[in-house]
Amino acid sequence: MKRIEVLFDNGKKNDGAKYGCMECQTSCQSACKTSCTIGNQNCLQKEEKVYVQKKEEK
Amino acid sequence: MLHTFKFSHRGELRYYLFESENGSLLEIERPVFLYLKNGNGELTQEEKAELDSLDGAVVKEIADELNELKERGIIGVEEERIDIKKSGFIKSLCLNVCHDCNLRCAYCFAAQGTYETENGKQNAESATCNKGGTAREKGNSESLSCGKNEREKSEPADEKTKYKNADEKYMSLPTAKAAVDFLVKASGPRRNLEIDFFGGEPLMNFGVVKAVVDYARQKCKENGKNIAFTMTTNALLLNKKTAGYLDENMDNVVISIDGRREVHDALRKTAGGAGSFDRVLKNALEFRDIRGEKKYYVRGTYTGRNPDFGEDVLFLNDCGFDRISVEPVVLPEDDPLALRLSDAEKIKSEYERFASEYLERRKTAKRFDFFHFMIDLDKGPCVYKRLNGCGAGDEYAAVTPSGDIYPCHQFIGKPEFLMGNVIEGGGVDSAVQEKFQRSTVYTKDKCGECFAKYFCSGGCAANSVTYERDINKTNALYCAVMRKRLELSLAIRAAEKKRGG
Repeated sequence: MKRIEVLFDNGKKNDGAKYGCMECQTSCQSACKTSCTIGNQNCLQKEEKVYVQKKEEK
Repeated sequence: MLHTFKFSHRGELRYYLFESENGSLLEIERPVFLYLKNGNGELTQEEKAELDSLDGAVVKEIADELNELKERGIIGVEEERIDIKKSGFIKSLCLNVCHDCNLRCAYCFAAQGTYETENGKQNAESATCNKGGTAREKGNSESLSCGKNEREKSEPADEKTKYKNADEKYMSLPTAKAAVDFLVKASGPRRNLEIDFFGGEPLMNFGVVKAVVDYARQKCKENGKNIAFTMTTNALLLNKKTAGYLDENMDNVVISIDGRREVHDALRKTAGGAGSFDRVLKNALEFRDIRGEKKYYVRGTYTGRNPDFGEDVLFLNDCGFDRISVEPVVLPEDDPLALRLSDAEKIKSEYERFASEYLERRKTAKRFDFFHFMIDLDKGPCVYKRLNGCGAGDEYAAVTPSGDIYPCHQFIGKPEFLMGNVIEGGGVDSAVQEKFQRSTVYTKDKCGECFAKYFCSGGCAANSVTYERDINKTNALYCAVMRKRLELSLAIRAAEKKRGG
């Protein structure tokens, strides 16, 4: 690529982005308290900090 | 959805392409930027002339590169709608342990901490003064607890009657325990629970905070759950004892301070009308020293009075804080402190200016995190979370001192959003909960065509109600702010990645 540089290629991460365990932190709790920026929250499951739930629990 | 944007830093203009459907971020040359903008019909005459002057081989090269990226699934990704199943399990509680405050902040959404509505029985200021707010400011944590206990003793024996009193300003321990019981039960299969101590000023009810932390830990242990605590405080009552306790027991502590002395003192006054800056800064710095590497934020509010709010962020950093957040005020447009749509360009320019300085400081010993410029393109939340947003009214709720449950702290006092009461039991009003469950990125009126939708997740429901009287409508000013913050976050992330960060 001459004119385009791929900095973050998330094209192949779609499947991994669908955990849906809903164990993540609720964003308003963390810092801002008025308006939420979900994109700066981390997925705890990706960091292996939470239990992997059974599919039927989703 | 593809979105192009640019970012100027130290005289150097860089161009970016963002694929909102998968979060891929690319740096592009200016001809590519013009080519893509032209496709959207967004070029000025000058830009169009510049694009037309490009060599045909260059244009073909651009088209070929873009096609290759599409084939690789990096850009041009189709939106894949998923079935949203809202959880229905409440796992986070904002515990308003005190509807009283030792400050009289001019922009407070909670009527100076009292949550009195326009139709309330008492004037907010006189109510808190009558409760002895000024004396409490001088007291230590133990005296606060004693005051509370004495008050409890004078109340009727019938708990159910006692705690239904909507005028209750200090949450009692039985109510707080009932809230914990409610949370543990309502969380169903969720294992990670949270309680945020909020107010008013939660340190004015410190005794209950300490007792409920112990109780919640015990209940969660018995039920196989984890619990995290946060406190949002104005820092006036932080001393060695309270600060040490918060450091030891809170997973996150949010300290309210608006920035420069003149900005802070103009709006965050004590009940006596004095500025609070000196005490707050001193206490906050002492807490920062105690806190070390553990999580905290200093958090400010900017209003129409300080459109140069970036200076306040940099000031807080100069003071020695390294985790900072500032937020636009939420006030009706006719309020003199309100931000209006006509302020949007000014606000966006200030974020741009401040972002450039932020990027520079992050290379130095003054490195700090600004909450709204932090973005995780690798370990960010899953698509379900991105569609659902903060979870207010669904997996997150606020509890008032009298035990009433609302979708979040900003809905308190709005009767149409009352969901239940933790003392009375009976769960939550499913009609209110369903209203919030049905509100997602898919149902918000302007989100469908917005590149920021998976990052702001439709924005704040309370803001939507404040400005648009509908949780499914979005506010143009706050959308503009959110989009600008996301562009800058991405540009900062890109710059730091190229630096090897």
